[in-house]
Amino acid sequence: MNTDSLGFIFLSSLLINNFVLSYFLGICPFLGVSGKLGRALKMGFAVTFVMLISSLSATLIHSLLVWLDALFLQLIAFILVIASVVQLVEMVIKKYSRALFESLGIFLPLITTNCAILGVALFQTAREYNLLQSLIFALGAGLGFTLALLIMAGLREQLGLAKVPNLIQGTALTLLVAGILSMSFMGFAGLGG
Amino acid sequence: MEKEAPSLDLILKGLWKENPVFVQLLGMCPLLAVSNSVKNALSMGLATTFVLVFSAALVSLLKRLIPKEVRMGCYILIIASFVTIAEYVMQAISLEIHRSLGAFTSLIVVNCIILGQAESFSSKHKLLPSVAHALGRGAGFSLAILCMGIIREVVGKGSFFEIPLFGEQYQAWTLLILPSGGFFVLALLLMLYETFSKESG
Amino acid sequence: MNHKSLKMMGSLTLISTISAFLLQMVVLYTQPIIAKNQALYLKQAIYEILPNTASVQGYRLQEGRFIRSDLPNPSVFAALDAQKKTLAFLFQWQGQGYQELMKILVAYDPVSKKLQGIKVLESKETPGLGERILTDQAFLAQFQGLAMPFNQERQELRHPLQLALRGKPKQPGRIDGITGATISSKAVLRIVNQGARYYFPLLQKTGGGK
Repeated sequence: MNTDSLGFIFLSSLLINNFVLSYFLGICPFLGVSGKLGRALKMGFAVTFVMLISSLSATLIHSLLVWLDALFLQLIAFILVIASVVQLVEMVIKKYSRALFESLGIFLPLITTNCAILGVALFQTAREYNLLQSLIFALGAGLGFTLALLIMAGLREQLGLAKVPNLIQGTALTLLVAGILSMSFMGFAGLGG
Repeated sequence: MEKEAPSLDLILKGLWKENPVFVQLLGMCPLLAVSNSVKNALSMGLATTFVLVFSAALVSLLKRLIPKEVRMGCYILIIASFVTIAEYVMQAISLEIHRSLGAFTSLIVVNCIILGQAESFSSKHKLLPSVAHALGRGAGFSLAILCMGIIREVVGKGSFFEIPLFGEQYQAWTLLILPSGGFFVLALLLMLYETFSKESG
Repeated sequence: MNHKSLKMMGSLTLISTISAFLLQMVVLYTQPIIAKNQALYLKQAIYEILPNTASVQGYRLQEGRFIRSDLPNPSVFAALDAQKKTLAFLFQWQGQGYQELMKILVAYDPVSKKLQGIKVLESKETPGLGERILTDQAFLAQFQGLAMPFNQERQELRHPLQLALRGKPKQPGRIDGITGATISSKAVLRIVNQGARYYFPLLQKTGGGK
């Protein structure tokens, strides 16, 4: 059981324990993000949306497996069900809303194998969150991911203009910037008790 | 089918020339997250190599039976099974190691190195070469994560495998053990790799 | 159904069967070892908090009371001394630490309404800083014999644990934190408080667990 308050869970997954900057989940899209803010924002919202789906399915799967006493299937069930549900949602969106699909749907298949999505499912289970806590946790994690992505995209825009030594250019530079970002996010520790 | 390269070559290639971490930038998430001590890094390296080798073997054995349309699902199913096995074995060996890796043991499933191995190599090659290739990539990943672990623990905590190295007065550089330290050390390693591989041609 | 989808289903079934078989074998073999390790770890933790413990009895919640239970994974433990007298009840609670989940074992005596000690079972606090909540004896010793009454009417702890303020006289429920590990110390107090709010009224109702 876990009685952490909803506000605390949200703040904690949004800022204090930001998925990207303190758990290193979802690093690939973070490092690969281009300097385009709009695209980063869309990607972030798509991830948040999938995280909510993942969180909801994980809660259901976990209670089902506890009932069946088959917890050793948890990981397999999580990854297969989340992947299928996301695909299903993608199809539904494609059929009913062309506009939504164009702005959100194209990211969906990419996101399924993103470790942050599975991370949400695994963390909420380990922490014994109930349904509401899990959803808030997923929302915070998704928005935290969006925030980190946006900051990075903004920095990338500026970095494009900066003169840096050849050796650091590319991924190394992004990593250094991420390290400094992560350091500044450490300042949020202790928020909300 | 192309001519198979000798197995030893495949292993060495994965270790250095085509190192999955330094060259292809794969498997970043566990690399950064659980390299804060040598022990964690070593356990993660071994577990990943275990899953990599066994899933590669099974995929390569079953490659004719897996239809193209559902291959991703099949690969994920196979990988997830081996990750669960690794998780249970690890728990039986030492609860403490399992605790200190936390959810990151399960997250081996989404390590791109493993899915990439299944998709681009094991599904096209015979058993022996794909095991050798997987072993090489596992060794390459382990090398990278061990380097990170050693730098982070020795500098950041002043110890190696939890054995204190420098005595009481050493002022540990704790930053390296914190999440941001992971980013810095990886950036450093990437720069070093770049420099060395350029020099050796 | 056409040939292709039959083939697809067939191969998926085959792979699932192989995985299920492998998994089953490994789980069957390792599960008893894991259960044994876990029980041993918990017992050691109990002896560490209460060195006079001679035996441990599990309890399980039923209709708002704790009853004795020998099933695995009880929700509460009672530590008994050599004369079968209950020293304290122990429960586990978890919450968010500085970075990751933190799990704490709390020992409480519902008769004297005093904490008997705590032990952090799982944590991933910063090595060298937050990690000291595991080892700092001065910090941990404050929990031994700390009065922590529960107000039944208001359904709240009378003095929820809080960090002591520097330079102020010590009030009930105040604990001195560890310098350089303030956030981890705070997290410990928060988790103990949360666990206490849930378990204390139940334990007091059970009245010493008779």
